[in-house]
Amino acid sequence: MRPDSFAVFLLRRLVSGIVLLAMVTAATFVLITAAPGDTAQVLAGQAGADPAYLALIRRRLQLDRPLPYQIAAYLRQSAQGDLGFSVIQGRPVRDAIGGRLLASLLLAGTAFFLAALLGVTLGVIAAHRRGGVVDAAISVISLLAYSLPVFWLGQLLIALFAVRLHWLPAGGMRSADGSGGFGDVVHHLALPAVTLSLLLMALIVRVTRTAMSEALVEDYVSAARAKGASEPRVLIRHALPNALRPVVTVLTGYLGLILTGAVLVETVFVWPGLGRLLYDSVLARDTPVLAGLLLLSATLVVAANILADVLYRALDPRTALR
Amino acid sequence: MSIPRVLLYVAGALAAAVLGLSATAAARETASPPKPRFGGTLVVASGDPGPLNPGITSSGQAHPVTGEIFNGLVRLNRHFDPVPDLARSWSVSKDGKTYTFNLEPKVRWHDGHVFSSLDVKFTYEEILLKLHPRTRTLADVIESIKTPSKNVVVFRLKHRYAPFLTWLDEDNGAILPRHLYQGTDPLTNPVNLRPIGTGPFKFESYASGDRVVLVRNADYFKAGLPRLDRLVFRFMQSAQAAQAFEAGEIDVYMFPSGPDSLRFLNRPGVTVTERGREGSARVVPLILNLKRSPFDDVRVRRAIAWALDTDFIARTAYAGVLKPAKSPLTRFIGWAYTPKVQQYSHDLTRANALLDAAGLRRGSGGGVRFRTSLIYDSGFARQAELIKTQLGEVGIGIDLKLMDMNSWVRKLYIDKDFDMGYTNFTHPADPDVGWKRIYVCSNIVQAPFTNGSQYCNPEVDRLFAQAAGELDQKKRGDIYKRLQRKLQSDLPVIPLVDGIGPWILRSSEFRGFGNSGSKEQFFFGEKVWWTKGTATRG
Repeated sequence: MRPDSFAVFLLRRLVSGIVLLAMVTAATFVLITAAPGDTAQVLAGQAGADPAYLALIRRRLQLDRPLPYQIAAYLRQSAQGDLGFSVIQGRPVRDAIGGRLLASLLLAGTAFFLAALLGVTLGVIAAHRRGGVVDAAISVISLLAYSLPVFWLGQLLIALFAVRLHWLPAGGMRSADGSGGFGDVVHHLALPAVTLSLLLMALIVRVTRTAMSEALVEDYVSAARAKGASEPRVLIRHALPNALRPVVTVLTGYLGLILTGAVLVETVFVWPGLGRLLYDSVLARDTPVLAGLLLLSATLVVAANILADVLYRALDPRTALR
Repeated sequence: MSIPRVLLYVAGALAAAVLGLSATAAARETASPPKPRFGGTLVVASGDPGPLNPGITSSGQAHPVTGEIFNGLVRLNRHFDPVPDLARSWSVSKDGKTYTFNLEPKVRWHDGHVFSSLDVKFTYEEILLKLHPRTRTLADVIESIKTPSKNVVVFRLKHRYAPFLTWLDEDNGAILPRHLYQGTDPLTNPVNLRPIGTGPFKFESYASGDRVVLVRNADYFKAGLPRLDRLVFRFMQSAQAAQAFEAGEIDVYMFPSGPDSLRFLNRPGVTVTERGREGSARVVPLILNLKRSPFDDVRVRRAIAWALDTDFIARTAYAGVLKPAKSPLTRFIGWAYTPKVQQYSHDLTRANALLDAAGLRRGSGGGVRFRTSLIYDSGFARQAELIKTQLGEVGIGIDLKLMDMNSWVRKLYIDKDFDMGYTNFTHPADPDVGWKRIYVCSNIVQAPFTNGSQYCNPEVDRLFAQAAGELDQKKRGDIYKRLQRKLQSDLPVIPLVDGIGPWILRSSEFRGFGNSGSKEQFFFGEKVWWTKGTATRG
């Protein structure tokens, strides 16, 4: 692929991505409107508000406008970077999401790092010792990690490490007295990050093991060994780079989802991230925040797919020729 | 039977001790109050409150926080009687239509501005009577608000309205700073996220999804209060709150489930009590759609009441924390409550006879008389199973329809597309505020938590109106007792259980909960103190 054709390809992906985002936004509005309840009803609480109050709030929030008008207005303002105002949150959507972004990035980033590091390492070891006891043990561990429901595992870890041993906190991102610094945050991060990373780690172990197993029987690996390369060098310098493509696919596929997809882990560990914001917004029928979050999530998925294409090209130059 | 009855009996037997023991615990707390100490941080598990503007919401998540930051003109004691707050005293004219409030003279807002009667007038006229979901109904009652001096405010009513004072607490009538809200949209004013009040605690920070931190207001107009240095509200759900309490990370668990109440009941240093939560007293009724057959026949409604074993439901589904309802009105509004109404003790013979009389006979072989459905959310799942089982014994087949809360609210209150449903109806502080809405004809509207059964009886409406205008509490109480008898006879809804539900407190370290105020859970921080604090304020 020539550089200019790559630019055309990228431009095409970008344009189709933007169209996709507009469609996701419109679909979000349709789905939210179809669901029972709205912001006015949530604001009223269980006080038994009268219809006049509900009509007043709906008028002020423009919830009484036709759906196409609401969608068009939202697309227009979001194109200008304005995601609207959440009455439920009492702040602009940009601030509501921005206020949670750091917590989510920290949790997701740590979980990603742990999953990738452990997953690839265990996958390589399993492939290298294929058919042996170590391979079987790693397979069992990864199967367990993949099968355990995260909410159950999270509760179990809390019961053990927080309630019984008092080694780690049960939840939150900082201590109640707020005195802790970075160390305090790391202390709080340990359990949710491990819990969130396990499923992804198990997936990466399986994918790495399969890809490495295939790579290790290739001619270039035999050639490297014949030339006297050490076994670690054979594994890391020769086989692993060729086995990483499917791992990149898995990682980038999850990248878009992990920020807003950690609903269960964030809820169990009271982590103030975007997953919990998504969950609370669904319950509160907070349309502006929901639309903003889904827009963010969709943007990440689109961006992750484009990133995967670029990474493929870097990992396997043959891709550029196709 | 869907749930093994033996297991439920065991659970019930375990639970039966809850209220007795919690009463003991409460008594222990109030029997020998040691001298309060100063300092400390109290950590409370709560929901994310959203905007901290008590003038635009009745949210049960916002008011526990705003109740520490703001004041009303009055507070309500645990018997729902008004006691001074921003108003140090008041008088009522002979015709019962003019209320004159003398305000505390040395009150300052947390930003240093002087509080005055103009703040009261502005808050009511521009915010509460327009935007508060509940208080805006007072616009039909209040004729004018005048401020003859900076420390006096006069409310003139259009007609006599006995419960007027009970509307003026922080829950329904928090006073907001005029200098920060005038000329702004109260729904979107940024001050809602960094509130300025007159209350015992000042706002320090609000981390969305994480916590609100409040610090002591050293200039609070009530001498010697508050005693704590800081209040931290950490946002978490019930399951997480239980674990955090267990791990020692929170000190107050406000809305525990029945099983959690039992779990913490006999822990050393922990108090499980209803004291201080009287404002949450509620009756949970089974709501029947009177516009649908056969519920339009009072014999069928009575048959259902006879068939239900509310004692069993209270002991099992509510773990004994709530009691079987003996009246449509909660027993916690003592002056108006009476159990001397028709009681429908579990009697299948009477239920069967009434259903036969209504023409709903069993088919051959003792089959189903008629099929109906019950809509509910996850909070009523165990109750729904029991109701299905119990009504099945008299030949009423029930399809259970579990749905999310918004769907259930829409079906029951907006579309009226249901046969049977339920709601947790809190009644305090006055029957006119929390109870009347379930029954009066004018409240058959398309809005949540109104008259869902669509019961309409001119006599009942007349009695409610008469009670609202009667200033003599004894005579008012008599009218409400007549209403309870009438409603328990007509049974537009079938009362199942009555109670409050406890909260769980780390009493080894914190004392002073529940010593005043029926809505104490909304301003408990004012008097709570730390047992490890200093003897004097340093």
